[in-house]
Amino acid sequence: MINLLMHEIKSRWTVILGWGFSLIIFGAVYISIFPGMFEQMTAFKDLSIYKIVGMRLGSIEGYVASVVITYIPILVGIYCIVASTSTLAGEEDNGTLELIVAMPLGRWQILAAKAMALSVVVLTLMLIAAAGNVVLLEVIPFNTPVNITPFAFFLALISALPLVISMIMIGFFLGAILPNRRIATIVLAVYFIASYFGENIAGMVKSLEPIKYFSLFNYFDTTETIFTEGAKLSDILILLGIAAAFLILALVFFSRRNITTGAWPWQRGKITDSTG
Amino acid sequence: MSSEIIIQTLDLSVYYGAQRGIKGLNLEVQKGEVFGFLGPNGAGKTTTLRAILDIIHPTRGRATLFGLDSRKNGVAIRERTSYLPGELSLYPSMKACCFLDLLGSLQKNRPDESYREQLLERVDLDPSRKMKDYSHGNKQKIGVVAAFMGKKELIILDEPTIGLDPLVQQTVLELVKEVREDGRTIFLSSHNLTEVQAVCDRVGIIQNGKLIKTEKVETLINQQLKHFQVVFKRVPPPDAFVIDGVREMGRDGHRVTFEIRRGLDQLMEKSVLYGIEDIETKSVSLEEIFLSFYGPDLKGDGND
Repeated sequence: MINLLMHEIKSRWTVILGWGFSLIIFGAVYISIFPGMFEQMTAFKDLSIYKIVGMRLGSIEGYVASVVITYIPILVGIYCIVASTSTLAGEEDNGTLELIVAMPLGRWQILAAKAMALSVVVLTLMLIAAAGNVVLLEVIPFNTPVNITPFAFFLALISALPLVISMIMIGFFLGAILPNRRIATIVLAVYFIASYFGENIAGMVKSLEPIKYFSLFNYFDTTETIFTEGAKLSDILILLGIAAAFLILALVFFSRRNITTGAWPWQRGKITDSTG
Repeated sequence: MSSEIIIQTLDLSVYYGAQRGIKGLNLEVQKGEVFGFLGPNGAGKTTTLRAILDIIHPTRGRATLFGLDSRKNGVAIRERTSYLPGELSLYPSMKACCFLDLLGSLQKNRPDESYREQLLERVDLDPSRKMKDYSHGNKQKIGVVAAFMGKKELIILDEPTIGLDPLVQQTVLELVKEVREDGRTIFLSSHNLTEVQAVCDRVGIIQNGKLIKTEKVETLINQQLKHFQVVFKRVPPPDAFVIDGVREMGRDGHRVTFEIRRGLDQLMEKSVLYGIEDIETKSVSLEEIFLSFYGPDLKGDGND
C-alpha cells in the first residue's frame, strides 16, 4: 500500500509544482491590482453581481478574503474534480485499474492509497501557494494599512484544506458509484458550481437560505473575519466529517464494484435474459 | 501433474446490465496443467477470468483458487497468482522499467531482478522508454514480462500473444511450457487454436456464457471427431447418409467426405450399398473441432 501511495504521489510532482506556482501567480495578479483599483472597486461594492460571486470590495481585507481566500480553493477544487474522478473512474475507463486490482492488495488499500496520495498532493500545493501568497502580501506596497498578519493569511489559505479534501472524497465516491469518469466529473462539477453560487445566493435571498446547508462553501469563511478569528472549529469538523463519510461510502462501493463493466449500481448483479 | 485442484468454479454466474455474462460455469483446473479456455468473441472468457480474480463479483455461485474463496480471500489468492489482462492498458507517461518496479513492489515477495532481466532479453524489449513510445506489440511484451516475472503458482493469461510477432509468440509458448515443467499452473484464454493445441493439456470451450465442453486436447483431437473420405463405386444420392452424428462435408465425384462423431457402423452399413473403393481417415485439428462446436460461421473470426 505504501508503495502504491508513493507511486501516486511521485506521479504527480509536476502537478504540485505547476499548480503551486500558478496559484502564487494568481495571487500576485489579484493582490497587485488592488492598490491601483481601490477607488473604482469601492464604488461597485454594493452591486449584487459581486455579492453573488462572493466579492467584497470595500476594504483590502475583504477583497483579499473574497478573492484570494475564495478563489484559490475554487481553483484547487477544479483540480480536485478532475483528479479525484480520473484517479478511480478514469483509471477504470482507460483500463489501468484492472491490473492494479489484480495485485495482492485489498480494494480498500487501493482506494485509501489513492485518496491519501491526492490529499498529500493537494496539501503540498496549497502549502506552496500559501507560502508564496504570504510573501506577496508582504512585498506588494499598499497605500492603505493592511490588517492581515502573515501568519493569519497563511492559516486562512490553509483552512481551505478541509473543503478541498471533502471535494476529493466526494469525487472518489462518485467514481466508485457511477459508471464512468465523464459522468462522475459532470456530477461533481455541477455540484461544485451549484454549491458555490447557491451559498452566495442563499445569503441574499431569505427564502433560499436552507439550501446553503448543502453547500460545502457554507462551512468555509471567506469574509475578513477569517484573518482575525480564524476558521471556525465547527466548520472544519463538519467538512472533515463530510470527507470521512464520503471516504467510507467510496470504500464500501468500490469494494462492491465490478471493475471494467462500467455499470450503474442498480445494473450490477441484475439477472437478464441476454445470457444464454 | 498432481491432482491438486488450483481453480474450481461452482455454478459461477455473472450477469451485468444488458451485456452477456457467464452462466452456471463449473470447471476445475489441476495443479501443473496448462488449461486452455476457448470461445468466440463475447462468449464469456474474459468475464470468467475477471470473476475468478474477483475483479468482477459473481452474481451466483463461487470460485475457489488454491482452495480459497475468491471473494473472501482475494488478497491471499492474488499473492499466489499473476494476471495478464486481454485489454492491457499501461500508464502512458511511465517508463516500462518503473512500471515493472511498481508491480514488483506491490507483491508480497519482490520478483527476482535477474529473472526479470532474462525475460526482457527473451522478449527482446528495452524497458527504458516511456509506455507511450512503445508499439502495441511491445506493450504486450511488458504485460508478458509482468505476468511471468513473479514466478507465481498460477498465471492467468488472457490472449497473451495478441499483437506479438511470431518469434515472440514462440517465446511466450516456451515460457508457458517452462511454467508447466516447474509444476506451476497456467489458465490460458485464447483465440489462437494453434497455440492452444501446442501448449495446453486440457481445454474448456465456452459459448454464450456456458461451458459446453472440457476435455484433454489429445482426447478431443483423437477421439471426438474424425474425418473420413470414402471413394464409392457408384455415386450415392444426396440423402443417402442421414445418420445421427455423421455430417457430410463435401463431394467430389465419387469421393465423399464425412465428419463423424458417432455412428461409424451405420455409415459403413450404408456405404457398402454403393460399393467402397477406398477409405481414408484424416486427423482433425483443434480448429476443426472448435468450428464443429460453433459452426462454420466463425471461420476467420478475429481476436477479442
